[in-house]
Amino acid sequence: MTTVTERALWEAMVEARAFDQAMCRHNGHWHEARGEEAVFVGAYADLGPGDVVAPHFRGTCAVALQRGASPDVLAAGVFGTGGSRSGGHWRGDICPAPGPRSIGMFSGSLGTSVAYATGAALHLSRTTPGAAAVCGFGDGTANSGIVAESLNLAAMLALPIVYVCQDNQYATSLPSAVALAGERVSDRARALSITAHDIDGNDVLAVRAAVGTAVERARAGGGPSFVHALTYRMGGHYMNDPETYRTPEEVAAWAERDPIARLQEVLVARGELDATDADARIAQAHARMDAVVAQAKARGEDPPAPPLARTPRTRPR
Amino acid sequence: MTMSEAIVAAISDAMTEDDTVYLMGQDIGVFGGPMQSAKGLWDTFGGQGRVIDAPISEAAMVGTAVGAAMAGSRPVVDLMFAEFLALTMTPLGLEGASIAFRTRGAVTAPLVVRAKCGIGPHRGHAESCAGMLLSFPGLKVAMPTTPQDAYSLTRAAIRDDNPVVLLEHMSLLHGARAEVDRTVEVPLGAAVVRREGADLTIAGSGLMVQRALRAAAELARDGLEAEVVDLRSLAPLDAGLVRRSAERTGALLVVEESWPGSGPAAALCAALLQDATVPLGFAVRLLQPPPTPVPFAASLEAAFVPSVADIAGAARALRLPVKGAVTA
Ligand SMILES: Cc1ncc(C[n+]2csc(CCOP(=O)(O)OP(=O)(O)O)c2C)c(N)n1
Repeated sequence: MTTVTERALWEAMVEARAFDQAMCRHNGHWHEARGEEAVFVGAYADLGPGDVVAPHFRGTCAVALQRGASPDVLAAGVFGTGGSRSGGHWRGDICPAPGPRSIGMFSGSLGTSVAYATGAALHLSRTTPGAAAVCGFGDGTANSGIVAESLNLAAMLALPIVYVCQDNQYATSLPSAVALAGERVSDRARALSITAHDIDGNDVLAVRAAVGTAVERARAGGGPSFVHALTYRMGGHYMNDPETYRTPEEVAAWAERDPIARLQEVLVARGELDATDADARIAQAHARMDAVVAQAKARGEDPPAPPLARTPRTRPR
Repeated sequence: MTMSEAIVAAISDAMTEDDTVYLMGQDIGVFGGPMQSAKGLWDTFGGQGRVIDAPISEAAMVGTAVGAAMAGSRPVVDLMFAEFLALTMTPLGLEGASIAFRTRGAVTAPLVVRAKCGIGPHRGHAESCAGMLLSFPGLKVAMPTTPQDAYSLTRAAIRDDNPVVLLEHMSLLHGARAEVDRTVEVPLGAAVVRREGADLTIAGSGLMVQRALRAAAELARDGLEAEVVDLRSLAPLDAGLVRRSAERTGALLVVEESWPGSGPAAALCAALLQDATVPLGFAVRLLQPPPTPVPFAASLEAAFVPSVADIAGAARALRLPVKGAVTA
């Protein structure tokens, strides 16, 4: 049932990076996702509107873009100004406001969104057979107690959910190699009898295939799966990170494995993409997103919407 | 029905009417729930997967309820005891209760968390953590004292579009039986006068209402007529009704079983000072436990929680000196 072409995956990654880099230029609070695009683009590419997405905060705007959100509204949301969907009431930093089928970061606290996604999967299992939830989180977040509780609950109730650990190898400055007892974060899922895959998180096709298989299992009533996607955060934890905890050599080695360049090479070799066109498209995407973000920032003076008026909600079933 | 039976009946009726309502908690399956908190529900709804026996994962029980609620369910979580609420504050208080504000009402999280609290036959788990709950904007808290209110407030809580904590006092759950009219609606946020009186107002919730009523009967023998207000909802708090009553009687005694630092009494005082014309026009006295954990030994527990005699004594101290002066 996949309709997204590999070329479209490449475009989604290019767009994701363009938005991300524009934010890096204009927003000092931004948490850069450069280098990790294959995980969040590949994991959510093939889902339908009835499925629930709960991406990791790093890359969450890109998932919204992929699902059709307007970059202007997203950018306004990041700046927390009047043009955003929440009128500035949502946490105006990093994550878009949620909908009934999309979950982001709620406060500044990590881990809870994994429980929310699990609860959404519980709702889907009772009301919408064949629908699934995909939930992303970092290797650091994986250590949170509520994540362990949620995975156990999902296994016990055979919920239709796929957990995707976006392992960029650091939680702020703490390497996952130090923070994680045991070999692999996926072993925690295996200990709960959750099917787990360890994949190359810089290969968007590998991510898409692994998550796709897991989503099919979930849709068919096969219960939760865990995908551990090893990737790397090319930038700092946030914009002002002095990055004293890692070496330039390590960063350079991972730059060789850039997920966008990798897929681009494959598509160019197959004749599905012209190298010169590709460069032009990338430049275009960056120029467009830079303009969008700069404009959203400039409109930051907008008066915020009035305080909460409890509007009637539309309840999806 | 007892209060416990009334709550179960309310959940059962809600589940019958609305198939998005489910119940999750520990030992609520064939075991029937701690202190029979889910008695009979397994037989009716267990087969549909709507009564879910959960592992010891309080944060995830509430966390999944928030996610399921946002997606369209109306979950009820049986948390066993209120002291476990502390484990759930990020999903419940900080985040779940914030969604309506943050999305300007476009997305809300209609969920109910049930929690037993208070001193009682269980001998332990007495902490209500009420003050902690009251400090989160958007989080509603109800505490019934009669079977009718237990039924109606539970229905209102499940119908509400935002997170509601239902505090179930263990001394009251299996106490007096009363007729319950399933058509009676009790809104969240409305206190009620349980006994009318002209000489002073005693406001409280849970077991303190029952004790205040007994104290009022005692005071009446001395010619002192106490009006007893059952707060019913701790958030929103019906400070207006309390103020009107106290303005009429000229004195307010707030009795409380939970910790003194913050809680319903503190919230009530803040609301009175904020809304009332200054000076208040009535005397105020708080009768609260000391700032210690709830002690276990029966004698210490008795010293901790205001007794009928304590309430009557505090009422006399608040009111009688004036009358004494008149008669002396
Ligand atoms: C509960 C909680 N504890 C600590 C933090 C502070 N914090 C913000 S991001 C972060 C690192 C998260 O690491 P990871 O989950 O691997 O995601 P990454 O930032 O690497 O994408 C930390 C510790 C937080 N936001 N929430």
